[in-house]
Parts: sequence; structure tokens; C-alpha cells
Amino acid sequence: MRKLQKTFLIVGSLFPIFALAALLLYAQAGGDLKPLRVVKDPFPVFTDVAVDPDSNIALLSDENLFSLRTYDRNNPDPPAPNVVSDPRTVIVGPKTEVDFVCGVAIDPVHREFYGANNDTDSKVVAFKYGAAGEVPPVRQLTTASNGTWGIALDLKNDEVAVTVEHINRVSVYRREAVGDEKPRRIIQGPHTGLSDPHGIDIDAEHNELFVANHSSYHEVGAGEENQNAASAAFARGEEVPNALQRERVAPRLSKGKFVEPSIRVYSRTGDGDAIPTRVIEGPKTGLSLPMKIFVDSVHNEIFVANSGTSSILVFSRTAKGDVAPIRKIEGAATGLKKPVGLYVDLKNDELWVTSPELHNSTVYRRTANGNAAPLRTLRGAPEGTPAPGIGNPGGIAYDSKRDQLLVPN
Amino acid sequence: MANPRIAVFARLADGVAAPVRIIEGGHTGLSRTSHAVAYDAVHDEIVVPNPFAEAILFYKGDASGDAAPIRVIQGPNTLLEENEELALDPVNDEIIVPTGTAILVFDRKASGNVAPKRVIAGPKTKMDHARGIAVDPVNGVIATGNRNPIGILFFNRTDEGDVAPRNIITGPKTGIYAAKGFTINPQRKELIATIEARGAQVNRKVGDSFVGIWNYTDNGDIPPKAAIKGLNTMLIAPRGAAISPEHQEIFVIDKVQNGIFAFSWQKILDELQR
Repeated sequence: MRKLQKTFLIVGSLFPIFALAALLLYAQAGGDLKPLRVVKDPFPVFTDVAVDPDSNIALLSDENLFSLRTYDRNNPDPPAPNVVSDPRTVIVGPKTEVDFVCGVAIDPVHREFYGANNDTDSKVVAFKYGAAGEVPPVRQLTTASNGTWGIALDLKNDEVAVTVEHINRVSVYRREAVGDEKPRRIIQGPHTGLSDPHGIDIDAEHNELFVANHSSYHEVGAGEENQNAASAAFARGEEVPNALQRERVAPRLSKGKFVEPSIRVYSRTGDGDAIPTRVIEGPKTGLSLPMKIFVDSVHNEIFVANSGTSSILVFSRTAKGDVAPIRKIEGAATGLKKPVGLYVDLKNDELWVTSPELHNSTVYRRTANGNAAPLRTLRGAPEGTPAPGIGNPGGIAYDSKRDQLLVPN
Repeated sequence: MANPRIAVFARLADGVAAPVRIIEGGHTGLSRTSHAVAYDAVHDEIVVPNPFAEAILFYKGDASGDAAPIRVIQGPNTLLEENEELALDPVNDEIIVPTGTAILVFDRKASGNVAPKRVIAGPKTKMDHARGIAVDPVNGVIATGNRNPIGILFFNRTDEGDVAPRNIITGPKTGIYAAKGFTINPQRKELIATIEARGAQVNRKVGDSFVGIWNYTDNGDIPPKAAIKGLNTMLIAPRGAAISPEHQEIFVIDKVQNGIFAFSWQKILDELQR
């Protein structure tokens, strides 16, 4: 009995050594290596913005850390250039289902706000005012397998609309749609002219729907889903139902081409392969990678975040064809760099813009024109912080001639 | 960020680093969802896919700003669709593009509405949502990721038509849920693949996904001979991979971390199990 106890004690005392050795061995076999270097941005990168002036809220989407943030509308400035703005609330974490979030919308009537996830988990998530931390959304709506970008609320008709890049589609849902609910209407097909659609807005007063389009086009039929839907579901870790199995195994003729960037206007109730009622397009427009758009039906103007030229373009609401903007915010004093999001606060006569490459959102007078300096600056990182700007990357290559790494978004 | 662009970083960049140059703007023809890029050291060119315009874009190696492509492969005859990835074969002057249903091979110098030189497609290929691609011009191998069967398909570089893969890595021991990005080590005849764990993009758990290394000749239910895996790696959803043999480093891009991770290649070689 004593011998057994002694053996037990010896083995017991050696156990931690064995365990440590096993752990080290496992770690080596598993290759649990620390990276030599990591290029990563620890700060939020603001994509889109929306404002509720009555509740004094500015809502911003952050596509780097996957968060939705609210700030004080009237006083977002940090106290010093090396300090970041203090958010009221931050919604972040896997349970929130906020992912690579792009477009945002705010609903002051029902006191809710929305984020549209672009990739991976391409859905619209809605939260109540005041939500913070890792909280689940009050509603989530799957709008596509991937590629949802813009979102617009139509409170007059109780609807919400989104753009889907990958399949050149606009989908319009009832405002409180959830889960896999089907849209009430879609705009999709070769006559729509939709091409890599981004920003969207609805003018309920004039019954029109506006969409900003990029230059990459491939023909998609009305009602056509993404051929890659199964792969997207698979990437999210879902079982892929047989219905999503690929029906075709032979290559088809390619249907892609480059087109002019455009703002396309449709009837608000347009459905299917709808022809736009008018199109803003052509060299005089100056459109280049147009992102978010906002339709101001009070002053009859359209605001466009024109990323390609680091400017904000303002057109007449009824503009058509190859027309120049009536105003343009552009120049060194504006502080704009590849702007993506914007919002017009009609109550305070202000324009909000996001510049992701600068980690900030800047506020201007609604009527600002030319090389206008911002009134206020909301800062997500200390001024001058470099922005790697890596967003949902898929590829990397090594340039051996220049000792550099290439990363497309 | 969601802007279409190619950011270029110094290899030794670390932390919150700014790109040394960026290719972006309305004239570049870039879109989002370009899940691969290749650098051609022989001809000093950058090659990238644009799946939204169903095009392959070529730029000068030092391109910067709103640079237009120097060549574009695009048009009905190209058969391009969902062309999110590509691989470059600088020895045989070819570009290899998976489209989910097929592997298309183009002349590197091709431009405009050109038909592929070769097409690998058909039921014998077992291709189903083929994603990710690598080519080894020295040893004559093409590898692509596959969804059903889940794994990696290997073809001969010169294969054409409805041909069976020469070998398939598939099975529970492989640890493969979704093979995403590939690079190669021709000297060692090894394939380096980023493997995304099930649900990694949604649950964002560090350490479940990994980078695995297999021999070109591995066939069946074969575990990787070495892997970069674990909490220390910081990897959540690794996608593309590239290596610098000169510096003995491997570079991995992560879709959820939105970052570039550089690892010691020598440390991996030290730990090879077979």
C-alpha cells in the first residue's frame, strides 16, 4: 500500500512536467506560431453616417472592427488632435451580427437604427436606440447571399430598400421584414442598367427611388440569384441546401463590360426589369465611384459622395443626362479623402460625410461649395493615424522586385 | 475598407502602417471582391480579377493612383464569370482562372474578347464551386479548392476538357472545411493552402482556421504535413497566401482581422512532420 502511494506521488509530481512537455510538443506539431509582423488597424473605419437631429444622434458604421457607433451630433469633436471622439454607444461582437457593415439608416419615429452587412453575413440588422455592447439585433433580415451595400428607409410607405452589388439588384421589403422574408419588389435585369449598385435613397414625396452605380457591369436576369450563393453560405459555415446546388456545369458566354458610372432614377414602385425614368451620366457629371447618395426633397437636390475624385457633388433633383453638378465640395481645405458615406441633416442645415481613409466624419454647411472647411470633425483615430485600409481582403501577392506586398480589397 | 483598390505595403510594414502606394480610382477598372492578385516579376506586371465586370486587368508593376490597366481580357468569348481569383504562370506565359464550374487558361499577353487557350470542365473534373487556384509551372501542377467533394483537386498543368483530377485531398483527417487561398513551393513540390474553419467568419474564433502544407502527390484523407494553427497565430479567416523564398517568410491575409500576417517559413520547415 505504501509502495503504491509512493508510486502515485512520484507520477503525480511528474505529471505537470509531462503535461508541459506534451503541450510544447503539441504546440510545435500544430505550428502555433506567433506572427513576425502584423499590419492591422486597431481603430474604427467609418463607412456611412446617418443623423437623428431630434435625439442628437450621429450613427456611424465601422467596417474595420465590425461595429455600429453613435455619437453626439452637436459635439462630436475630440478635445485634442491626438484624442478620439467619445462614442455614446458601441455595438460590436459576434452576437450583434454586425459584420462588414457598410450602409446605415436611422428611424427617428420608431427609434431604431439599421446596418447593412456587405459581405460574409450579408444581412440587415436593426437595433433600438440605446443598444450597446454585444447585444443581438431586434430584427435581422437576410437580403442576399453577399454584397448588400446601401440601405434606405421609406417611413411614409413603411418600407426598407437595399442594393446588392453582386447581382445588380434593388430589393424593397416591408419595414419590419425579418429572416428570409421575400422582398415586396425587386428592380433587376438588363433594362434597369444597374451596375455594381451602391448608394440608394427613396424620395417618398415624389415617388422616386435613386441608385448610385459604379462602372463594372455584368448582365443579370430579373429574379436571378447569385450563382455563388452556395459558396457564400458555405463560407458562413451553413449547411448548403440542395436547392442551391449548381445546375449548370458548363461555362457560358461572358456577360461583362465596363459602363459609365451613373445615378439612375426609378419609379418608387418599379418592379422587375424596370427602365429608369431618368439617368444622370456622362463626362460633365464628374461621377467617379459614386458611393452614398441622399435626396433632399425639400430643396430639390441630390448629394453624392464621389469617392473617385474625393469630392461631394450636388445635382438638381430633376437632373437628367450629361449635366454638371450645381455645387461641388472639393479641395485641400475640405479634408475629404475618398468619401463614402453622407447624410443631410435638414433640421440643422448640415451635411455629414465620412472619409474612411482618414478615420473621420466631417460636418459642413448644407450649402457649402468649393474648397470649404468642415465645421466639426468626428475622429475615430488620432489625427494623422495611418490607415492600412484593408477591408475584407481575399488575396495577397509578393512583389520581389520592390520587396512589397500587394493586397486588393 | 469597401473601396475597390489595391494597397501596396512594404514587406517589413508592421502595426498601423500606411500603404506605400494605392491603385484606386475611376480609371482603374477595379471592383470589390477581387480575391486574388498576382505579381509577374518577369514582365513587371500586376494581374487582378474583376468579377463584377467579368474581366482580367493588367497593370504596370509600379502602378499607383488612378492608373488605367495596360491590358484587359473581357468579352463573351472569354467565358469569364464569377472570376474572383487567378494564378499566374510566368514560365509558360499563362493566366489560370477558376470560375466555379471550370478552370480557364489564357495567354498572358491576351487582350480583349479572347477565348481561353484551354478549358478544364465537365463532370469528370469533379469541380463544384471551385475556389482558389495555384499553378506550378516547373512541376506542371494546377490545384484548386472544391466544395463537393470538400478538398483540393490537382490537375496536370496542360490538362484540357473533361478530365479527372490526378489526385484529390479530401476526408476528415485533412481538416479541410473550406480551402480558400493557395501558394506553392516548387522546389519542395508543396502546396500551401489557407483553410477556413466552419463558421469562422461568423463566430470569429481565433485559432480554428489554419494554413496547411501538403505534397503535390498527396491523395485521399491525408493530414497536412505542417500547419500554422493556434491562438498565437491570431488567424480567424485566412484567405490569400504568398511566400518570399529569399526572406524565408510566408504572408497570409485574413478576411475578418482585416490584416496581413507574416510568419517565419523556416520555423514551419523545422516542424515538418513528413
